[in-house]
Amino acid sequence: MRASVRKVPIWAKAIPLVVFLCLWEVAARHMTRGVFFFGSPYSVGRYLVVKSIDGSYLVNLGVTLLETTAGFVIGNLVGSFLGLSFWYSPRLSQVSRPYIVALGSIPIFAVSPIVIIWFGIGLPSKIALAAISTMVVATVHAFEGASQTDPRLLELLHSMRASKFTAFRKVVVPSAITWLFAGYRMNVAFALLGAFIGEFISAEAGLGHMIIQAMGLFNIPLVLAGVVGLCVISFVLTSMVNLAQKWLIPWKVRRRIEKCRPAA
Amino acid sequence: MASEKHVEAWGLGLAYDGKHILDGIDFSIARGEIVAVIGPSGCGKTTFLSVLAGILVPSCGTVQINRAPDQLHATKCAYMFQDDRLLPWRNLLDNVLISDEIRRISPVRKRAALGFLSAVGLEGFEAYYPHELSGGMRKRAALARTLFQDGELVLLDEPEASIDYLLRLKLERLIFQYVTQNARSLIMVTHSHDTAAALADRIVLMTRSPSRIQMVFDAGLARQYGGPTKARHATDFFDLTTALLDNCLEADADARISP
Repeated sequence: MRASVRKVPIWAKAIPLVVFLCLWEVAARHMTRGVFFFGSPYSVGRYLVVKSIDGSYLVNLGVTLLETTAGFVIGNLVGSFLGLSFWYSPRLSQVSRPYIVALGSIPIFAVSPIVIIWFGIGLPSKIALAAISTMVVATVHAFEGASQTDPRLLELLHSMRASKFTAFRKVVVPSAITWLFAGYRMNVAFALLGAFIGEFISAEAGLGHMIIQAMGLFNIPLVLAGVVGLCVISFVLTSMVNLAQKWLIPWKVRRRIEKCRPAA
Repeated sequence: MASEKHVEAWGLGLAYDGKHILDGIDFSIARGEIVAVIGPSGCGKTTFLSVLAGILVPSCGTVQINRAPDQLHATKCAYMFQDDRLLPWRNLLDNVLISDEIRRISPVRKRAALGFLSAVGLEGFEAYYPHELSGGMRKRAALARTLFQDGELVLLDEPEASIDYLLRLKLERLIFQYVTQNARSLIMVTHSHDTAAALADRIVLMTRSPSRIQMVFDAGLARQYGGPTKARHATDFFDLTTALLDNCLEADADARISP
C-alpha cells in the first residue's frame, strides 16, 4: 500500500511563527533596553501600521517591488535566452561560458557603484542591479536544462526530418522548463538582493533606503518593519513564479497530484 | 503486390567504437511489401532499422530509395522506436499530432489523429499525459503516432512488445489494413515469430553481431488468407513458425544456454 502524504493546514504552519513572536515579545520586554536593541513584534507592528497610514511604507514597498520585479523579469528573460542559445550554438557556448562564470563570481556589491554611475540614482540603476544579479543563474540553469534534453527525443524528431530550430522549440525548450523555473525561484532572492543593494548605496525611495535611514537613527523596529516588507516581496514573487509554473508545466503538477492521492 | 523496388541496400556495414555491428547486409523491399526482421537479442536489428531511417550513417555500403542514392533524408519515413519516446509535456493527442506540426500541415488532422488513437484502443485517453498511462498504452500511442505520420516507408521496432495477446492480434490487423490500403512499405523488427509469420510477406533472419542476413523466408500468409488473424489458423502458419524456430535455434546454437 502506498503511503499517502497529508497536506499540512495553514494554522499548523503558523505555529512556529506565533511561538517565536511570543518569545521575542516577552524577551524584549523583560530585557534592559530590549526593545531598543532587538525591537519587538508589537513595536514593529506599530511602525507597520503608522507608516502604512501615512503612506510612506507602502510607497517604499511599491518602489522596491517594482525594481525587483522589473529586474527579475529582464534578468531572467535575457539569461534564459542566452542559456538556451548556448545549446543552439555550441561554439557560442564554448566562447561565452568562461565569461559567464567570471561574471557570476563577481559580488554584486562590487559592481553596484559603477552601475549607479551609469544609470543614476533612480529606478533604472536598481532594475539593472536586480537584472545583473539574476542573469547568471538564469543563464546557467537554462543551459543545464537544455543540455539535459533526452537525446532519444531529439532522435525522434530527427527521424521525422524536423529542422534543428523545430527540435529546439518542440523538445529542448519544454525539456529545459523545469530547470528554468528552478533558477527563477532562486532568482527571487538574487533580484531582491540586487535592488536592495542599489537602494542601500544610493536611492531616494525604497525599502533599502528606508532601512538605511532607520539605521542612522538607531530605529531597530523600523529596520525590522523594512525586513518584513522584503519578506512580503519575496513571498509575492515566489508565489507568482509557482503560479506561472503550474500554468506552464501542467504535466508536472498532475504528476504531483497523482503522487499525493491517498491510497485506496 | 507490385514488385517495384522501394528500398535497396548493398554491402551495408556499420562499426561503432571499433566493434562491427552490421557486416555487409544486402537487402531490398518492394513497394507495399511487409518485411519482418528477426534474430537474437543484440544482433543489430535496431541498428539496421536506424540506418534505413537515416538516423545512423553506415560505415560502408549504399542505401537507395526509389532507385536513387542519397534520398534517405528526402523520403517520408515513419519510425516507431523500441521505446515509446512520447513527449512527456504533451498529452496523447498532441503527441500524435506532432508530425503534422513539424510538416506545418495546417490545420492539423485532428480527426485522423483521434481515429488512430481509437484504432489502437486508446479512445478516451486523448487528454492523458504519457506518465498517466501504462507501458503498453504508451507503446500503442507510439504506434498511433507512427501510423499517423503517413510515411511511405514505415519502420516498426518491436511494436508488439508489452502488449497483451488479444490486443496484439487487433494491432496486427490494423497494421496489415494500413499497409495494404495505403500501399506503404513496412519493415518490422520483432521477437515474436508468430507475429512475423502472421503478418509479413518475407521474414529476414539475422545472425549474431556482426550481423548478416542468414536466411530469408517467403511468407505472405496474411495476403493469402485475407488477414493476419485468419493466417494464424492456417496449417502453413504452424509450418512456418516451426521452421523459424528451428532455424533460430540452429543459428543461435553457440549462444544456447545448456540445461
